[in-house]
Amino acid sequence: MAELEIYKLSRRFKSGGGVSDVSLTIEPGRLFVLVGPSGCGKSTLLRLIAGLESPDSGEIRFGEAGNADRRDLIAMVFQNYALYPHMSAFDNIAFALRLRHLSRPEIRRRVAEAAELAALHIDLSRRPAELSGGERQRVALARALVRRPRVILMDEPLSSLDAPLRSHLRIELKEFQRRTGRTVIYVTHDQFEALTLADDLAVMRAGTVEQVGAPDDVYQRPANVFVATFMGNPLMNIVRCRLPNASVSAPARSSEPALEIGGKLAMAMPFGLSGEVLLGIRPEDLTYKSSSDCAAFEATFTRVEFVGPGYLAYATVAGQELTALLDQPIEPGRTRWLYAPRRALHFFDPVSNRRIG
Amino acid sequence: MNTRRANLALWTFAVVPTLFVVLILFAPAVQGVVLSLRRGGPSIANYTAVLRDRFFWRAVEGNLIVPAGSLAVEFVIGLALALNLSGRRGRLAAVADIAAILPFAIPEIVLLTVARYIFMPRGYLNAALDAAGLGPLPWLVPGSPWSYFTVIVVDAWHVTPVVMLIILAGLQTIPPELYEAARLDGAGTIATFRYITLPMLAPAMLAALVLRGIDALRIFSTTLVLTGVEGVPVISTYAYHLWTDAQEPRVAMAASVILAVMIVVVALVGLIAMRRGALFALYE
Amino acid sequence: MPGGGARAAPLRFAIDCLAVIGAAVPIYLLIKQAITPDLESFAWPPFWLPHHLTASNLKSVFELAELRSALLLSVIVAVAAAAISTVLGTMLAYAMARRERLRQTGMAGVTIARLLPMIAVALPLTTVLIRAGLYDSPTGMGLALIHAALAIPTTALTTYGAFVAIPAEQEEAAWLDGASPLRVFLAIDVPQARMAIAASLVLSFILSWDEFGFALLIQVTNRTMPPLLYYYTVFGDVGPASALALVMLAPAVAVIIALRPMLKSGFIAAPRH
Repeated sequence: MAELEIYKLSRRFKSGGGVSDVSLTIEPGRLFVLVGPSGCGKSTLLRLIAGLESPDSGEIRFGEAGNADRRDLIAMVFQNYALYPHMSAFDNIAFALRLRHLSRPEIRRRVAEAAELAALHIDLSRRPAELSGGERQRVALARALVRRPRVILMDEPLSSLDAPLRSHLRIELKEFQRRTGRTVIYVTHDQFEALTLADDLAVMRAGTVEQVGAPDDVYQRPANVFVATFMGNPLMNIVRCRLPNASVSAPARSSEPALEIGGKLAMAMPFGLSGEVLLGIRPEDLTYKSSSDCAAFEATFTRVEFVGPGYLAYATVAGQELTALLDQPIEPGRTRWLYAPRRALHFFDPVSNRRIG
Repeated sequence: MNTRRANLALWTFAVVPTLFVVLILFAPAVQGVVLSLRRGGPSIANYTAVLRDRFFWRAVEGNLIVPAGSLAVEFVIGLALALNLSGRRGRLAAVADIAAILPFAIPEIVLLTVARYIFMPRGYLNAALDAAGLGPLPWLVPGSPWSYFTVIVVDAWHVTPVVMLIILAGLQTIPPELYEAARLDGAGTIATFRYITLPMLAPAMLAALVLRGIDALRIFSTTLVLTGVEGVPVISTYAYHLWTDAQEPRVAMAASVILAVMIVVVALVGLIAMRRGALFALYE
Repeated sequence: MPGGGARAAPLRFAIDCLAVIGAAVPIYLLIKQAITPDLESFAWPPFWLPHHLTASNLKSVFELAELRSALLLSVIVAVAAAAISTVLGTMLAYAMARRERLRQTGMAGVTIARLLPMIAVALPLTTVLIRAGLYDSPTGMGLALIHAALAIPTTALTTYGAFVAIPAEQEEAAWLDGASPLRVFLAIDVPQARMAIAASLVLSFILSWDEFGFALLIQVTNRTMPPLLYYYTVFGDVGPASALALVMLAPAVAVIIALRPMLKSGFIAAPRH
């Protein structure tokens, strides 16, 4: 049985934003990531699940737990952790237990248990201000765990940290989730964080879910142009193409530049396409080397940036800009053929922006 | 939190204190308006009685002269004190700082008590003037222009620190880069004051003027303690006199309603003169 | 003023002198009169320095029944007023800090409350209090309620900033931990705002301690210190009046000087009625 079912959930704000008609199923024991640009409604969705906001319409069903108090089922780890600054780490963790009138020895036992699970090995009489970023995260995790919730919600817990700590704590969070086996719903705007953390992820935009799936699936088979360009860095190239056998009825967009498709590229096209199509290629999939089953582009280079792992080259292909992550630099102004393997080509409908094939 | 229970709690938190203030301050004020409009039955006789009284018009005059004078003194000295203290450091600055705030810390009635001893005919001030060969002056003699001067000075004495604090807070909001830029542009002290400080302070000063103006119009204790009801009459002491000595409670209420209306009108004019919201900015 | 040159020095000195005179003269004169016999205070020309010292004036504050009961009543009224206005003002400030609409109406209300002249409230209120049996009450409870209402804008504005500074997420975390809205307020917000709440307690205490107009009109026989001081001054008891004034002065000055940083940081001093 699903841990959590969200059914046609809507919550709109007067100031704009919110979520519209969102349906999702979250399986138990999974780390489920909600990812999207700011204002896409991912935090609102999380707050609706938490019960911090009331929906305009729709439902959230907790599988087996049925109709128990929402607050007994879920716990939340906030951005900046929202630890109670006037309480010691112990009191922070014990707060929920005290509200439930547990006995002192029971509280001590459960706090110790939660601290252990959260790998929190510090003097618990210290206050949040005296703790490091990592220690604070562990206190927040212990505070969430101590109530033994079925679901732990996390609202961008890493976003305010600097890069090294961030990657360290990301790994820690993933291990924490494995160790505890809890269902975690995790919100982030960072596509990299989403890809690396998630068992499943949902990409959101403007209050709706654009795609749900496993990270590799979403990355390799984006459902539409938005998901394709949002997930992945550097951004996926989107090139407008015109098919050679364009039928008369196809929408004529001759005023816009488009890549005439022929040769190897035409061979790479899914069967049955006609008219115009949007072609998506990730910069890292473009190379100088041709192979048996690949598409070729004649690119004129305008600019090159060294980005560490390689050279990010900006080029024009049939009047449209294209970026390629190359292993060798190239002089601006030169024209060269770039190749992409067939499996790296994504086709999208130019009107609906949806994936084709 | 945006749940129904949280909303209910917050509204309760807002409504209970509001109700308390309404019940204790506003309800009686409204009742005062109602009572002032009755004399046996509904009547405006209380108001005509007030408006026919020549003494009332002297009180109106006093209620304009004293606040106007007091505001002028408060703002000139308050501005001088604030500019003098702003950005200063060291032990001497701390002394000047405490000294500047102290008159406000002295309870009003205490300051008025001392002021009586200073300004009375055989008081400390006349003694000092006498010693200097300048002779005594009628500081508190009823009806003399000097008595108005005295009341203005003493009233301003007590509240100037408030004006200073508001201006000081306003000065803190002026970014120091502006002064550096002005100095690089070759502006001297006076030009800097004229073109940077004063315009940047204008909103805070305007808001302070409205707030202080409202308070100044309510003047009561200063004139009552220094000159009594007759010396420098103002509307509050006039109403107090009708209430306690003349035993004319309804007429007293009519007079105090007229004062309340005067204050509301001044406040409205002030609020319109200020951009909306500027007043709130002062509180935060 | 930033940029003031050397020419400004004499001007600065003059302003400093004015400030020091304005603060020191009243306090010096009160002390001098309080520790010398009335004869010295009424002398012409007056004594500038104390000649014969006496403790009788200061003793009288604590020995004369009239003075002692005024002192006691003032303390009772101010404590009650401070407690009520701090509780209610804190509630209002919290609501204002958490909801934009309540903030706007609250600020408007605070401003409107300043418009009422004391006399327009006090006269009709007197009749209400007579009916309620709180007029001239020996426990001063009628006056305490009025002082509490007068101080609510001040206590609300004093604590508002502290509540705004507490992130909403902390409250949400506490709510999710199982706390009711009231519990959230008491366990999360109040402890963190305790300094501001303490400041508003002493500030509202002093506002009541200092208040003269309502006290004069309502405590006509069971007087608190301000009206009693007024009568002593008018009827010429210089020594006891000065001693009483000193007793009133001490806590007020201590509090305002202690709260100086807060007053300077932009907080607008309370309206005086």
